[in-house]
Amino acid sequence: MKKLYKKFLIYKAILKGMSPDIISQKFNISRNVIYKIKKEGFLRIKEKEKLVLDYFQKNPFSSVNEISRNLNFSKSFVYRTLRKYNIFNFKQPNKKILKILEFLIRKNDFENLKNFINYYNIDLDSEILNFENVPFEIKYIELSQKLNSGVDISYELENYLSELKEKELNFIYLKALVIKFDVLILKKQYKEIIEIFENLKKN
Amino acid sequence: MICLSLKAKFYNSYLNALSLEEEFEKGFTILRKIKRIYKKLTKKEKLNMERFISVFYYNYGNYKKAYDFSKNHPLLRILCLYQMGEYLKIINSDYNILGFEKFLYIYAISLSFLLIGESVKSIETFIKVYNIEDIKFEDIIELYYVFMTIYYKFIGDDNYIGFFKKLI
Repeated sequence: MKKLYKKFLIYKAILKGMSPDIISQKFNISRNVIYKIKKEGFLRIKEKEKLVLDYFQKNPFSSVNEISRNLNFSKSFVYRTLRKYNIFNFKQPNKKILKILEFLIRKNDFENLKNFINYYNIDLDSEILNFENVPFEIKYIELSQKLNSGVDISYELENYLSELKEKELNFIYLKALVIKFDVLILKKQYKEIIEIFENLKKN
Repeated sequence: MICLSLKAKFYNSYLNALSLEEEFEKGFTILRKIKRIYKKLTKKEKLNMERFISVFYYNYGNYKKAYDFSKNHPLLRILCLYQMGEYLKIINSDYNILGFEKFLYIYAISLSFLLIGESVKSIETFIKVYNIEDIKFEDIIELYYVFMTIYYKFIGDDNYIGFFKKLI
């Protein structure tokens, strides 16, 4: 994440119109890196890593061994990738992360916003993000915010969950399922939570 | 599941549902599973999980354990102390709690005063509820009724029902 933040600062400097020479001196990096960031943006996920992350998105119950076997990557690579993208423990938003989020929202850069939140698994449980036209992949954050402000989201959430299932975005589906648990607790439908959990265990 | 954060969130909701459904045996099985992942969680996740464990023990009736797990959740701590009969500790506590939880906090303090025989202080404390912003009397009327019931029983006046009717 430290590296990412540095890349973000470089990206911002490029946007401000600073010359590559100055950026190179200020951040102690080569001009090549600057051109790469200028061309590809600061949020670049390597193709190989993307394969692992996309496989995990479809199969969130799979283990490191399974992923490495099915994708034919080494176990250590899979483990490192999952760790890098905070799959084991979601990243709690710190000041640096909030700065990046704020920047992306201000720029209406939804493509990078959804990639940043989902690929880097930022845990935005208690953060309030002010955005409109939320991309589908991070709509669960908007729904969670709505629920916290007392809006009944049951219908919207059900539709969202079934769409996620259809699109095989199973990891996001599980994240959104946590919000459904909160809805069910509020509605005092505890048995349904127990049923869902026991069905998940069977699968 | 290798995603510990998600696993923890699922366990929290499941444990909560089990305790509210009073399925404590299943709950204890989940607690054993929670123990296995607890150390690997982030600080925030640990704090959140402790709240659910505390609520589970509270609903189960083990207030001592519930108290142990409520270190970072003042209201839960107060409710546990109340159940354990530690009224003086509640009265002497000084937590900064806001909103509806503040009402419950004041409610616990005034009941504590009542139960140690300080009925005047009890009423004086209860009146502070009206100063809490965002609290509507309709929201708290049930608890108010309970309070007045205990109060009038305590001072030996059985006409509390009439008093309550006048209020609504």
